[in-house]
Amino acid sequence: MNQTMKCPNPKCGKENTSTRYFCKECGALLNRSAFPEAGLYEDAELKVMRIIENLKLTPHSKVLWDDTVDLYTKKVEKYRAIMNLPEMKSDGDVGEKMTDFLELCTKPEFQIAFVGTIKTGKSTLINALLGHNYASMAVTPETAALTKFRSNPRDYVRVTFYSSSEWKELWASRTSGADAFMNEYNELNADAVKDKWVGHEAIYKEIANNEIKNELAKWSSSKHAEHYFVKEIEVGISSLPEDFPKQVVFVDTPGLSDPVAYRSEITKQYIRKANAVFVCVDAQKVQKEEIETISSVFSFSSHNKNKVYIIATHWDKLNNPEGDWIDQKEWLKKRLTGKGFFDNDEMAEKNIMHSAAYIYNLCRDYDDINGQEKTTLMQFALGMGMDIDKLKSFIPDMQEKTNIKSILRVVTTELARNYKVLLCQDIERKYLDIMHILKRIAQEEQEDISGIIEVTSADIEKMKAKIEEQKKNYEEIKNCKEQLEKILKTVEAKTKERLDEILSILKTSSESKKQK
Amino acid sequence: MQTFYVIIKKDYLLIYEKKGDVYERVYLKGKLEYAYSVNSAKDCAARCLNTIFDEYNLDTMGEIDLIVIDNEDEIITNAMSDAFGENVKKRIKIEKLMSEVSASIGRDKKLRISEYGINYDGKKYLVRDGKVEKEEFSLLSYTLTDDMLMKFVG
Repeated sequence: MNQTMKCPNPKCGKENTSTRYFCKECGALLNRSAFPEAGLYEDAELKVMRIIENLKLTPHSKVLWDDTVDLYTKKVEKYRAIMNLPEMKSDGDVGEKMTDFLELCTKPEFQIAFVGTIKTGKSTLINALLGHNYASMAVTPETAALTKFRSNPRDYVRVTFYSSSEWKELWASRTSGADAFMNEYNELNADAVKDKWVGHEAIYKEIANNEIKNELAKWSSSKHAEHYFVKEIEVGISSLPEDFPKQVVFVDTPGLSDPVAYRSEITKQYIRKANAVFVCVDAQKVQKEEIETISSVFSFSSHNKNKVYIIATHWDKLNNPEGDWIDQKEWLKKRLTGKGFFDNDEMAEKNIMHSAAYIYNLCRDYDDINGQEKTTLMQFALGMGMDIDKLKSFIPDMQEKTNIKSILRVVTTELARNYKVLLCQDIERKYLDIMHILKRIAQEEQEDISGIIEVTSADIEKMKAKIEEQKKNYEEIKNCKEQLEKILKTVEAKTKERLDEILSILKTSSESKKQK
Repeated sequence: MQTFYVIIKKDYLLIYEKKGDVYERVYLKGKLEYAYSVNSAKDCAARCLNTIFDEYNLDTMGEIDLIVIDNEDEIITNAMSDAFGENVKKRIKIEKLMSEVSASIGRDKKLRISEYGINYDGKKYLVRDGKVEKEEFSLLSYTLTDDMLMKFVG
């Protein structure tokens, strides 16, 4: 029959099985009488009681969009708190996985990373998809800070800066090709403002929609010294098209071939985490460097190659855009199908697209463009066989040719629609991975503790045997002592008797002499 | 003038009113927690002030004085405090409050505050060498409730 023990905590009083040391409800030590001094168990009891209480109070970021995911999140939050205990075996990997998992569940974003070598038109493409020129499209390389664009009820810009440890790491990661970086750094005298910005608290500003571009340029432009110390910029835009999915985030990355290895490492991390990657390559010249970029992207996306899209930009600059593109696409399909690239021809056919974002943006902003820009548009129209005298009437046709609307359809329908399904699959996969690791850690901990208990038990048995032996020795000594005491008493008594005898004899002898 | 104490938590505001020596939570539209979003701080702050204005039958918005207990997150704090504008009469930094709480509660050595710190709103606060250090929520720390925190606002 299982014996039970009542918890001594007056606020609890729960019954526990007698094999337990601590109350399962409140953590109080059950058998306090086994310890003569409170100091021996107070520390352990405080820890257990606190852990049990705080597990109920572990901060929880509610997941509103799915109850099952909310449940997973609650569990992982508690496990993370347990793993952060100093007594737990440190496993940096699982800690990071849990943090990434929680972020995925609580801020479900569909991140589309835009990647490409410099001046491939990433920012121009992003502006076309966003419906307005927010990101700088200057002739010289501009985007050096990672920039995220998302839909939000209010327009804002949030800027985060490198911490001092991150800056140290970044500075140390400059490769041999960082001469241009260093020259620009020195020319802008960036070192003079370094201490102001490194470690600076994040800046958050709600601004008017028409101020976004300038605010963004202030922090991301390579003409401003501050940009070196900016880790990430986030832009919330209230005026995105109605059908633009709220959870989609465009991430404009600094570049994979950044001479500062730390920054390209950030790009790689985003490629790994992103739900889709749009690799921008110049349609006019897909060469070794571009293929290497594409190859790198595939290597970071090996678990899901279908998420990689190749966007051949500057399509309008091909000699014969429509004719040349057919050949160009066939060449790309052949080159990018097979080991290390798209799995098959069908995937390549679907995921390789052309675009002419600059032309699209000119069409969109037709009423505001200048003479030179109108000329560019006219040249394009001419190349497409359109009547340039009726340029404005051909705007919709020109926009269609640029293929931007097709890319937008991929984003809004194919990617966003499948997003929740893909997200739930991703979450489940990551949850099982974390549980597997935690189970392994728990098993290892249990083995270690069982080992300690075994050794301790063996030691306890040895000690018990020693105590028994000593008890026996003590009894023997006690017996000897009693016997000695008895002997002493006997000797004492006999000695006293003999003494009395001798005294008596002496007395008798003395009296006889006196009589004589 | 009506003075209200606002604790800026991660996703919601808690409003208190001082009645005598006691701080009582205020219900706004029947709820104790007033949800807000930092990305629409101005709208949320305006709605909150309007609700207080209606529920307390005030004559003007200017009658509302707010004493704001900051969140540990500067972005949230600055966004919401700026959104409340001139109604904010005083701001209390959470770190300063935690220092006082630690000193007071820490007198009971059994609570091991100096060793394990205090949890509040998802963060752990530990006073080391006179400085308040902030770390992630810890299962070993003493967890402070909002009502307990208010006792130290003064």
